Amino acid sequence: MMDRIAQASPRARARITGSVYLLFFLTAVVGALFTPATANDIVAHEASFRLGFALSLISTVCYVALTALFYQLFKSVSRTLALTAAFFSLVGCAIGAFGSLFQLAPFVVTGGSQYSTAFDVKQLQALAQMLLDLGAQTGDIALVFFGLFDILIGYLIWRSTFLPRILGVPMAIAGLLWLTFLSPPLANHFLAYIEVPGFLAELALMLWLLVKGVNSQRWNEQAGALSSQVLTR
Amino acid sequence: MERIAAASPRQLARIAGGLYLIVILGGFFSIGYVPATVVVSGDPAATAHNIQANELLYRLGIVVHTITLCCNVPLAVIFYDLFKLVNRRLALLVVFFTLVGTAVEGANLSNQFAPLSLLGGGYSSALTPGQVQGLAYMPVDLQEVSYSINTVFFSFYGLAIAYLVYRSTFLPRAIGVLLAIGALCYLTYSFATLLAPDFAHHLVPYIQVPSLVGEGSFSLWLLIAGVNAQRWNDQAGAATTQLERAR
Repeated sequence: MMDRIAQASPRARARITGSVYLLFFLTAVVGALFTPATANDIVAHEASFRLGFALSLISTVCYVALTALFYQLFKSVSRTLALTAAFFSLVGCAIGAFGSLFQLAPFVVTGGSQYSTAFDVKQLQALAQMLLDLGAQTGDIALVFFGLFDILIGYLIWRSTFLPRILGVPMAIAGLLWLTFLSPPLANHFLAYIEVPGFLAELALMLWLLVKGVNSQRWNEQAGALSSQVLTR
Repeated sequence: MERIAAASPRQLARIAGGLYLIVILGGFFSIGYVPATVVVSGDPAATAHNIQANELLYRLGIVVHTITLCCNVPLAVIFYDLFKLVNRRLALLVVFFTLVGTAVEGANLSNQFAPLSLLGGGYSSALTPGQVQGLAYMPVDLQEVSYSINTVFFSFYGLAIAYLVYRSTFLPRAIGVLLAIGALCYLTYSFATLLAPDFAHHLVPYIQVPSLVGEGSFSLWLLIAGVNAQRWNDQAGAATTQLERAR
C-alpha cells in the first residue's frame, strides 16, 4: 500500500492527506465532546472521559502524520516555509500531548488511598482542579504554535497554483485568531468567534483535499519548476 | 563531523545500533531498575524514605533517562538517512514521531524532580508529613500515564520503521515483523493503561516481551552486522534513476 502512496499521483496523495485530515477531525471533535470542565465531572464520568482522552490522543497522532503529508504537499511551493510550518506543528503537538497528562491527573489524585489518608476531600478536589487548569493552559500554549502553522499553510495555499487561493485566506485568518491565545483570558472571552472560523477554515480545506484533491498537472509543474531551479543553481 | 558526513551506510547503521542499545539499556535502568528499587507501591511514606536514602541513585535515573532521550534525536536522523531510499515519506514520519515522543517524554521528566524538591525541607511548615509524602508520591502514579502517552507516539514510530525494515532489502525481513509485533504490543498496553488501568496491570510483563525482542534484535543486528551495503547502494541507485525519470 505504501509504495502505491509513493508512486501515486499528486491528486491521489492529496486525497490521502484529506483522509488523514478527516480522521483527525472525527477523533478531535468526538474527543472534545467528552472533555469536562471541572474535576468533579471527570470523576463522575470516568469511562466516557477516558474514551474521549484516548480519541484526542489519536487525533494528535493523526496531526503528526498530517504535518508530514502537508510538508510533502507544499514543499514544491517553498521548501523552507513548508518545513517551518511542519516544525511549528510538531512543537505544538508535543506541547499538547505533554499537557494532556494533566487531564488524567485528577483520577490519580482522587483515586488512590495514598492521597485520601493525608488530604481531605476538598483539598483533593482543589488539587485535581489545579492540575486540570494547568493542562488547559498548556493546551492554550500549543494553540499559539498551531496558529503559526495555520498562517504559513494559508500563505502556502495562496502561493500554490494547485489549490484554490480562496482556501488559503480563511486558513491564515484562523491562524491569526488562534494567536489570541497568547492572552488566554482574551481568547476565552471571544472563544466562539475564534473556534468557529478556525473549524470552518480547516473543514473547507479538508473537504477540498478529500473530494477534489489537487490539480496534478499544476502540482507537477510547480515541483518541476522548483527542481530545475535547484539544478541551475 | 567530516567523517560522519562521509560515513558509509554500514558505519551509519553501526552508530545507530550503538545509540539504540544505549536507549534500551538506559531505559532498563531509568524506567525499570530505579523505580523498582525506590518505589513501594501504594506507600508514599516508604517511597519518600527510599528516595531520600537513595537520592544519588534517584538522580542518576533522571540523568540516564535524559541521556537516552538525547540519543533518540541522532538516531532519528540516521534512520532518515538510511531509509529515505525505501520510502521518503515514511522515513519522515519516523523522524516526526520520534521528535514528538522524545519531547513529550523529556517534558514529563520535570515531574520526577518534584519529590526531591518537596522532600528537601521547605514545605514542612505548611503541610503535614503525610501530605508532603503524598505529593511526592504523585509523580510515581503520573509516570504510568505519561509513559503511555509518549509510548503511543513511539508505537507509530515502531510501525513505520517496521515497514521500512521489511521493505528495505538491506535488513532481514524477520526483524521488520518483530518490530511491528512489538509496536502493536506497545500500542495495546498504552491504550489499555489509558482506558482501563486495572486491566492493564494484568498485561505486565508479558506485553513488554515482544517489544524487547523486536527492538533488541534490531539494535544488535545494526550494531554487529550493520546493513548490507551492496543492497543499500542498489536501492540508492534505483531511487536516483526513478527521480531522474520523474524529471
